[in-house]
Amino acid sequence: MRYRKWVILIVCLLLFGVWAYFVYDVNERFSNPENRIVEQGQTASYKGLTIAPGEVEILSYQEMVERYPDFDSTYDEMGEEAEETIHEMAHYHYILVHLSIENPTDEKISFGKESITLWPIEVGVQGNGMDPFMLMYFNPGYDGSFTAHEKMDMILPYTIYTEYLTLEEIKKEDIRVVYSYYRTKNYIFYEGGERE
Amino acid sequence: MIRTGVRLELYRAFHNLAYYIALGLGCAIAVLHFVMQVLPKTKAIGVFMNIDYPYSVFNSCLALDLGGFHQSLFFYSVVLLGTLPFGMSYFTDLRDGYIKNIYTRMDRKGYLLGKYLAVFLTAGTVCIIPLILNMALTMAVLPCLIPQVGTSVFAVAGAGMFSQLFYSHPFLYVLVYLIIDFCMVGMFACLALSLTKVLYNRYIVLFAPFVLFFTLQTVMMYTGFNAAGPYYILNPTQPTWENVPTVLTEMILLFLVGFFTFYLMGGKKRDAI
Repeated sequence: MRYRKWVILIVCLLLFGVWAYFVYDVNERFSNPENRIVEQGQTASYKGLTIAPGEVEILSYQEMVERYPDFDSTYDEMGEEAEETIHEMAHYHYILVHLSIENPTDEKISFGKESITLWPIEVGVQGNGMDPFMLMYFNPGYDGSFTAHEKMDMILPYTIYTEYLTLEEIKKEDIRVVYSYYRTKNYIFYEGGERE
Repeated sequence: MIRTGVRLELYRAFHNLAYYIALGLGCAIAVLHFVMQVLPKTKAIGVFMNIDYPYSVFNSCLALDLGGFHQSLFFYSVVLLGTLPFGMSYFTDLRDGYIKNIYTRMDRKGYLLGKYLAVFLTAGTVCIIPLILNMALTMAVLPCLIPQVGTSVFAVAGAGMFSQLFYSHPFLYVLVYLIIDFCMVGMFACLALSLTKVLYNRYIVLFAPFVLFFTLQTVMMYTGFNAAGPYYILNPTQPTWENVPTVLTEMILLFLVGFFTFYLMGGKKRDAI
C-alpha cells in the first residue's frame, strides 16, 4: 500500500513538472507586452510614420453639437438607419484626439488592413473603437494612406456611453489611444486629473 | 459529538461513487472544451497584426470563454452535477430509516451540520475542480497575457463587477469567482435538503435545486432583474453586469432559506426516531 502511494506521488510530481515546463515555455515565448508611451509634445515612430499627439477634447453631446453643429451629417449615408443612430448619439460622451502624422520617407505609406480606424481608446477600464463615420467627417482628406514628405493633421473621434462613465469621470481618468498591442503596447497617453 | 457527525458525513460524501461520477462529468466538459476550443487556438497564437492581441488564458479558459457552448453547458448543468453526489442522501437516510441508527448513536446537531456541510462541500468542489483543471490545461498551451480592455476580446465589460481587478490582477479575479461559484453551487445543492421534507420522490429531490435554479434564472430575466439570475452570477464572464449587493443578497437569501428550513424548521425538530 505504501509502495502504491509513492508511485502515485512520483507520477503526480512528474505530471506537475511537465505542466510547469509547458507553462514556463509558453509564457517565455509570449510574455506580457511592454508599455511604450508617447505623450503630448513627444513624437513616436510607427510603420515609418512620425506621430505627434496634440490636445484632447472631452465633450458632452450638447458641447459637441455646439462646437461641431453638423458632425452627424455623415450618418446620412446610412439611409433609414441614420435617424435612429443620430437619436442614439445623445447617449454618448465624445473624446476627440488631435494628432499630426507625418510621412518623412520618400514613399507613400498605406496602412492597408491595419487601418487607423482600428486604433481603440482606453479610458480607465472602458474601451471603445473609433466611429468611422465621424472619422470621415473630421478627416475628409484621409483615404488610409500618407503621401511622401507630407504632414496630415487628424482628429480621431471616440465615444463613451454615458452609463459607463460620466463626463467628470472621463476627465479624471487616464486616456490611452492604442496603436499597437503586441509585442509592445504602444499608445498615446493623456494623464487623468483636473481637465477643463 | 458534533465533530463525529461532521466527520462521518464528510467521509460518506467524499467516498461516494456518485461524487466521482459528478466530478468525472464536470471534468469531461472541461477536457472537451480544452480539446475542441483551446487547442485549435494554439495554431494561430503567433499570427497577429500589431493592433491584435494573442489569445490569452483569460479569454480562452472555460470560465472566461464568453458565449461558448461548453461554458453554457457547464454553468447550466453545474447545479445538477453538484446535487448529484450527496443531495439525495438526507432523503435516503430519512426514508430508508438509516437516520434512526444515526440519532441513537450520535448528536443530532452533528449529523445535521455534517449533512449540510457535506452537501455544500461536495457541490462546491464538483463546480470548481473542473474549472481549475481546464485553466491548468489552458495555461500549459496559452500564455497568461494580461487582459487589455481596448482589444474587445476579453469578456468582462468595464462596467461589470470587479472589472478593475480583472484588468489588473486577473488571477485574483478568477479566484474571487471560484469562491462565488463554490458558494452558489453549494448553497443551491443544499436546497435539496430543505425540500426532502416535502417531497416524496428521490429523483424530484435530486432535480429540485436545478429546477429552482432554472426557474429563478428565467423569472429574473423576464422581470428585468438580470443581475439576480443565478446563471449570470455563476458565470465569470458576466453575460449581464453584476454588482456586489445583488450577489451578496442572493447568497445570503440562499443560505438563510437553505440552512434554516433544513436545520431549524425541518431537520432538527421533526426527524422523529
